[in-house]
Amino acid sequence: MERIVIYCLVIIFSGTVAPKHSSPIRRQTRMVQLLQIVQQLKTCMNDTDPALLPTPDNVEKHCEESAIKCFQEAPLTPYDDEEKKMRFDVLIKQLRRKLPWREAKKTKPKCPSCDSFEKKPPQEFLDSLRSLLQKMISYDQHHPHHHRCHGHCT
Amino acid sequence: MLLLLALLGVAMNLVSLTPQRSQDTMADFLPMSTASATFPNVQCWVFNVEFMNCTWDSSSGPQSTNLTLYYWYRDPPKECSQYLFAGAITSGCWFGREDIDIYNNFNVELRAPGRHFKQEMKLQDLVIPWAPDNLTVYSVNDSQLELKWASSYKATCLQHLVQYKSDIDSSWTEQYVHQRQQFGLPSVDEHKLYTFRVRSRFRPYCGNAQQWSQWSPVVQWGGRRPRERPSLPVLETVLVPLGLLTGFIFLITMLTRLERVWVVLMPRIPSLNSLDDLVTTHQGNFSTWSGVSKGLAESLQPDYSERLCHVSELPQKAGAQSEGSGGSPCSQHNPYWAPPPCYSLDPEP
Repeated sequence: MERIVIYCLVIIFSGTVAPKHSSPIRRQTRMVQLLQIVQQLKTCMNDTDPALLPTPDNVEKHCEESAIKCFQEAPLTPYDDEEKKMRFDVLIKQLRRKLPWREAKKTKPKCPSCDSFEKKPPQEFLDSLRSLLQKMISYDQHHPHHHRCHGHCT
Repeated sequence: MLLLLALLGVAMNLVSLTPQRSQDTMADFLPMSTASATFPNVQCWVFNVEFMNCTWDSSSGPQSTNLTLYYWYRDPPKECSQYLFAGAITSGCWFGREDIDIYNNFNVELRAPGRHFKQEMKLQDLVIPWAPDNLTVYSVNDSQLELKWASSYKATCLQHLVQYKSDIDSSWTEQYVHQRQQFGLPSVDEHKLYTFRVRSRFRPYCGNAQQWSQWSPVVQWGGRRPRERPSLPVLETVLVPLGLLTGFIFLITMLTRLERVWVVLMPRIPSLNSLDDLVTTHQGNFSTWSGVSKGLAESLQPDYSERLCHVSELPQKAGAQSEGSGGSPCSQHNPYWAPPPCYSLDPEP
C-alpha cells in the first residue's frame, strides 16, 4: 500500500517537473509546425470570402500569447471545394491545439481584446500570424541552440 | 455702374482663372498625393539587421526634386537623419541598427511640397545576411568530405545554398541546408579538384526573404596527383595486357595440346538425335557415346595411373643399313623414330 502511494507521488511529481524541462524545445517545435500550417492554409483559404478577420499586428512582447490565442480563435472559412475543405479542417484542428507556453503567469498582463484589432482579409491575417510566429522563433532561438546536438552525440 | 460691374467681373474671373491655371500647371508638374503612381517606389534592404538602406529612383518621372523621407513603426513619423544622394538630390536614406525593428510593420513616406506617398513593409522579408565566411573543407574518411562555414547571424534564421563542382563538371550541383552550418559530401575522389561556395538567406523560420546574400569566397579540396603516377601507366598499359595475353596464349596452348584439360573445361555435348546409339551401339557407356576416347575416359578416373611408354633402340641391322648409306648418327634415327602413342587404344599389336 505504501509503495503504491510512493509510486503515485513520484508520477505526480515527475508530471509537474517534466513539462518545465522540455518546454523550450517543444515550444520551438510547435511554433515551427504552426508556421508550416500557416503556409499550407494560405493555399486553401477562400480569398473571395468578403468576411474580414480581426488581425493582431505589431504585437507587444508580453501580449504574444494573447495574440496567438486571438489567431487561433478567429473564424476562418474554407473553400467550398470538398477536398480542400477536408484539408482545411485538419489544418484548423492543428492550428487550434494549445501551445506549450514558457511559464504560467500569475498576473495576466493587460492585452487588447481580440475584437479590438483591425479587421483584415484572410491572406493578410495569415501573413500577420506568420510574422508573429517568426518573431517568436527568432527571439526564442537561443534556447534550442544549447540543447540541440547535431547528430554526433547519439 | 454697369460697366464698372462688368469690369469687376472680368477682373474676378481673371483672378480666379490665374491661380487655377497655376494649380493645373503645378498638378502637371507635381501631381497630388492621390496620384501616387508618379512617386518612385521605395526599396528597403536590411543588411544583416545591422543597418538598412531605403532608396528610390530619383531620376525617373517628373519629380527631379528633393524628396524627404519620413518613417515610423507605431510612433509619430520621424524624418530621415542620413540621406543618400544622387548628385545634388536625395535618392535614399541610411538607417542605423537602433532604427531597425524587423518584426513591426515599417512605414515609410516620401514627401514633396503639397503631396506625400506612404508605403508599408515587413522588414523581416527584406533582410539580406552577410555572405558566409571561414569556409573549411576536410575529409571525414577516405571518400567523404565535410564543409563548414560561419554565419554572422543566428543559425536558426538562415537557409543556405551550397554549390559544388569538381574540375571535370561544367555546372554547379546545388544543395539547400537549413539552420545547420555544415554540409557533407559522400563519395568523393581525391584526384578531382572540388570547389565549394555557399550563400544564405533569411528564411523560412525568422522571415520570408527572397534575396540571397553574396556568395562566400570559394574553397577547394583535392586535385592530388599520386606520386607513383608515372610508373602506374607503365603497369597499367604494358604489364597488365602483356600478362593477360601471356595467360591467354598459355591457356589456348594447354587447351589444344591437352585433350584432358579441354574436356574438363569444355565438356562435349552429345547430340540427342543419336540417343538410341547410347543403348544399341555403346551398351549404355556414356563416355564412349559422348565421343570421349577410351584412354581419356580412363585418365579421368580418380585412381588413374599413367601407362609408361616404352622407348627402345632400333634393331642393330637397321643401324648398319643406314651406316652404309653414310648418314650422320643424328640423321640415322630420324626417319625411323616415331613417338610412342601414349593414348592409343592398342599400343602393342
